[in-house]
Amino acid sequence: MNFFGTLRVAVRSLQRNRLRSFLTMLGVIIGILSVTAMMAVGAGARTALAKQFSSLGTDTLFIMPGATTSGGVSGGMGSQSTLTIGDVRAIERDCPAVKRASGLLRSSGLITVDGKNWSAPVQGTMPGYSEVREWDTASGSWYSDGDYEQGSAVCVIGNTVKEALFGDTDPIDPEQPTEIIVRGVPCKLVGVLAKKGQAGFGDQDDVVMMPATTLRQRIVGNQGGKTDVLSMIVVAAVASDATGDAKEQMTGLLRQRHRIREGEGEDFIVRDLKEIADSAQKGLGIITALLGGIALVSLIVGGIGIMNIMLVSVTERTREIGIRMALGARGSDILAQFLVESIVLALLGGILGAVGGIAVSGAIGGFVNVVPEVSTKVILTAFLFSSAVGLFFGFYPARRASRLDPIDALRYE
Amino acid sequence: MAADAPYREGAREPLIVLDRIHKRYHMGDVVVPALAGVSLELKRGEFVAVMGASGSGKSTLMNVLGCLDRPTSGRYLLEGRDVGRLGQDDRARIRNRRIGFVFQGFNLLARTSALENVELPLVYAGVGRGDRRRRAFAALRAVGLGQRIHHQPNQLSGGQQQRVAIARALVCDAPLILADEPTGNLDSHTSEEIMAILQRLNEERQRTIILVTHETDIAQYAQRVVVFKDGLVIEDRAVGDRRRAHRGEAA
Repeated sequence: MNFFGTLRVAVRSLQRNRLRSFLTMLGVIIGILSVTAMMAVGAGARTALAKQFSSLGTDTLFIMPGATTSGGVSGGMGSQSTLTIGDVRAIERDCPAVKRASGLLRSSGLITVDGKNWSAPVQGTMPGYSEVREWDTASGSWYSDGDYEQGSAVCVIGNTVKEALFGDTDPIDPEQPTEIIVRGVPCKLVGVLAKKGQAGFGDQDDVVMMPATTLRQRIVGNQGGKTDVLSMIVVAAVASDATGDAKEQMTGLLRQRHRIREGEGEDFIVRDLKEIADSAQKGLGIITALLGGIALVSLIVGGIGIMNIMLVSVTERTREIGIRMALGARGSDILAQFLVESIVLALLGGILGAVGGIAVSGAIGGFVNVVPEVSTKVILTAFLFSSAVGLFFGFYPARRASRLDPIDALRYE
Repeated sequence: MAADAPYREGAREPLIVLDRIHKRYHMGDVVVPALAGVSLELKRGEFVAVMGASGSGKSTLMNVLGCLDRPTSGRYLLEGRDVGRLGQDDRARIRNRRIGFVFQGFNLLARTSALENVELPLVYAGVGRGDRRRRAFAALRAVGLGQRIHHQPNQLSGGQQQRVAIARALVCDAPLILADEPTGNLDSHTSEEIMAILQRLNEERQRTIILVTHETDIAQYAQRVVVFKDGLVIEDRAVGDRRRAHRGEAA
């Protein structure tokens, strides 16, 4: 019998037991649906993550304060920063793989303007910060290096803060400078930053920035007389593949500057953004694979369902098999008939599952704020897997049917 | 291939030669001889009735003749070809092209139209769809069922179902028709109709018919009667006063 003939017979016998066929398919439908949805959402999440990290700049490195050890007592990570303005200057001067370095002093506070309030992180920056972060202004401009030297009361705000305080109106007007109150200190608003978006650690646009000197002198004051301590150092490498070299050079330099002896742990941590991005991607990949694996288990359960029903079907149709054999069907014809039947069952389940999976991934994506990516790879995998399930779990029942003795089969009641 | 050689009209050389056929079954440790050395010759165009009590070996003989089973020893020549030693696929091919089966219980596929039932052997013979339809329709007309081709078995009477089965046995132009108690489930009136069709096929189309029955009056429709007992032929005679069936709508 040719392929289409076999296919027609298979489809007809499945149509005879519509409900049973559908219920048998359900296992595969659920399996393929979950695999498709998981893969689509996973791929979407990875793309979103990659986009977030590229917004931070792939040639960027961060130096954060690490655990300090004083008199044998280890403080927690970041318990006390030992990073200084001098470190920034030294890095820029002595590390050839570093293009630009800048420092950051973190604080937070209430910002007021015209009776409106907004609480946001307040960051004091050293010159070069905008260059390292590749962060331009959408309107107005950054404060100048001169503002840093003089500790002028000037600031720029991120897009989120701008929307919270000013709505859609542009607060930057050369004729009429705007003033905002940051923790009680009036500052001249000179620029609104370009939108940067979400990153792994929150909304980057929810920020007020001013020269680090201004923040230190006018707002937070000198804490314990340490006038040059920074919360973090940000560094741009000369190229995105020079981050490794930059990391090595800076670690050596800072160990020397912080007088860390051989074998002792560092009191700072150098983080390479690519490294963070890679590990986050990897983590996401593992979660996706894990969920996909669970979904795969349900596909196997679906396959067992098919096998079970096909075995029942072979027993029920023993007489039919006998008749077909008496009329000239070879074992291979019978094998093909039942195999095609189980493959059609699984494949149909696969198609329905893939369609359902796309729909469900859209729903999940909307819920977790990820645009699911339904690739041809996902669809192909669904088809491949479901037909493989049909083939694998259909083979045993089909083989059993093909090996029946025609005399016994004809006599079967 | 010899098995597919066209049927030569009027040739009177033996269609079937059975040469000391033995068939033994193993029931645990006991060996049961079902056929104990049967030798028989059938010419083309013969109409033979095989009789015998149950357990006489006639069913086993039919299985061997129908290439459903292989003899333990002995030779079975069908159209000059030794088919007793053939493998499964070759025997399936012989059953498909050279033998038509008619069973006591009709053995039609349920929920499948008469036409499709008759088409079934052609499907396995690899005949194209249009050709299949045409030949199946012609076969149904030949048994007087041209009107009911789309009915399913459960919408047909026993006699009509058996006629569908006969059409199915005819459709591949097999020279041999094996009818195993074809009237066993039918009343006498319908039985006569069925026998009329078989007689007509035998006479007008020169089909060789082997009919298994335990009813003497049904055996009277044949030309020759072979009686079995304990796996052996104990009687082989021509039918003297052959019955003619008059009823039947076969065209």
